[in-house]
Amino acid sequence: MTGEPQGLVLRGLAVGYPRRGWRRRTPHTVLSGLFAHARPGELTVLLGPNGAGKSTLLRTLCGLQPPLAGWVCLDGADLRTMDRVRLARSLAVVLTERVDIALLTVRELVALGRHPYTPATGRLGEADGEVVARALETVGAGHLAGRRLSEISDGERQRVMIARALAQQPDLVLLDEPTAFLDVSGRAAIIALLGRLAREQGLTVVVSTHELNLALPVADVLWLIDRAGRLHVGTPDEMTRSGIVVRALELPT
Amino acid sequence: MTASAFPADRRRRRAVLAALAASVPAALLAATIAGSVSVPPADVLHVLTGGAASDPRWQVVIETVRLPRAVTAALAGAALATAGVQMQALFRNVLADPYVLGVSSGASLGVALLMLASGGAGGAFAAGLASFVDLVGLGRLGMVLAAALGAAAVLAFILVLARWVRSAVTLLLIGVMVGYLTTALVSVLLATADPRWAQQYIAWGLGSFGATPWPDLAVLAPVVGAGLAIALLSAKHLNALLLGEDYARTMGIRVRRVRLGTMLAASLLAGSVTAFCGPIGFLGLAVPHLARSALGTSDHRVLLPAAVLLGAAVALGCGAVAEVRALPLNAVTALLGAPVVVAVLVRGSRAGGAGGALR
Repeated sequence: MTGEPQGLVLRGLAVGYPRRGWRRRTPHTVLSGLFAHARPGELTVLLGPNGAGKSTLLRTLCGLQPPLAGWVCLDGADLRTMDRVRLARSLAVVLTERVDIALLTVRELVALGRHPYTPATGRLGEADGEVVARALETVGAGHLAGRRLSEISDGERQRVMIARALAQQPDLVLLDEPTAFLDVSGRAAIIALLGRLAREQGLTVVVSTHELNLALPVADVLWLIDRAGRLHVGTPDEMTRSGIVVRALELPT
Repeated sequence: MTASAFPADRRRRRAVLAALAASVPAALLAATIAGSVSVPPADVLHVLTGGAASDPRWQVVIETVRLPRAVTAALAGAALATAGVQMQALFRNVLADPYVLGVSSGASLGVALLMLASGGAGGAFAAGLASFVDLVGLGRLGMVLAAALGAAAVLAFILVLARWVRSAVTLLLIGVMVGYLTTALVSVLLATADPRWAQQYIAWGLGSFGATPWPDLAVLAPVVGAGLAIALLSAKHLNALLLGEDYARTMGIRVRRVRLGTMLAASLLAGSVTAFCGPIGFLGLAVPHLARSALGTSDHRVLLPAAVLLGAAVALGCGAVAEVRALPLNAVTALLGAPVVVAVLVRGSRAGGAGGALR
């Protein structure tokens, strides 16, 4: 494995929707020719205007839809050839879908992340309980463990969803717009938390967001999709100095 | 600390499960005592524990009428409640129940086709069905067979669609539409049917636990047992589905396979019960909600066993009330079930949207 690049590697990746049914003959390509590398220990922030294909890219990266062309590799292994359980133990997600199950405690929700590790009965052992507790502590939500999901705020809920992803003990965490629906301080706290997760736990963290101002100081690498569907990769410093950020996001100058 | 529940939560769950486990034999006893002829409770106890009743007539009543009826009620309640939990998990919808699959309307269609055939106005298929039914003897058994075949046919159709349709909500709506379609077909068929058969159809449609003698139970019990076993073994997967299909997939679940297996088990449970007892409403819809509120959790590892027990107890209770007051069974289940469902919806919309609150 020494020769293989660690982390998440995109090689000539094309994402979009494959032909499905009898009417759609050609696949609908959203983004193509993508090359990028998200490294362990770094926070990679995916930026782009609405409708640029951020969600489609993230769904492809986490295996929810197949690539139209090219490869997605995690620690040198092709995502498509990895078996389900290994994939679930290497990669965890926080999706935009709002999870709202009133009659479940925070601890129970986070424990759902142990699914790839528990036996067929779903029984949680001592070690699982510790992983769950640690995940909650890591996101600063240890005190919420006994609360029901209906009793916590949106910001707390987002932390808990991140803890659920951590309970899968992944190498890579992908988050789709985790700051949507939060107030300003909540957004900043979540982005800062993600930066800490990458650096302190050595995780590969890829997050999509609109929050340019919040992401710039914390991000290690930016993946920037412009209106033309091109992916620009660089550190926040490089990208702001070269003016790519402003042009790609069509910000007022 | 292990597992995912606080000790207080775990104590509550154990207490609820223990109470439910105790309530089933009590309800079974009550349902065996209840009836149009009064039998002394002491005699019921004697017969249930293997002794003899003081009067041979009571012995016959208990052994051939009361006991099969009570066992049927317990099986039907457990089956419908479990199928309800499965459907609500699969469709992530508080209003899903076994019948959204079109199982009951499929069963009705089967029975209606049989009537049409016996009326002599049917096409080739109906005639074929009729001759098959003639072979095994017309009447109740024919009705049961027709109902099971109809339920299986509608289910096969939905299962085939499930291979292409990704969204559970779309599938739910297709199930509802198939239900409307078969109901319409049944009305058309009823209009042309032999009145004798129409009467029998209506009697079946009222729903009853009292029309399953021991030989019928020998069929119903193993089928329900198999369905319950599949359901209880799938608790872990149903839990992963609480978060939605995308999350489930990223946790390593084969979503289509789980969906197929769950629908198959639910249709076994609901289809067999409908065939023998007629369509019985609200048990599959209301009991899962009652079980969730009692336990205070949506964790299927405790919810499924609780629904089995509570379903059996509630069905026994409803059956006993219907028997004592000579009411139609479906009226009793609706009187109990409809307020529960309304309460669930009201509480759900207070907590922000009817969909989310009580999954």
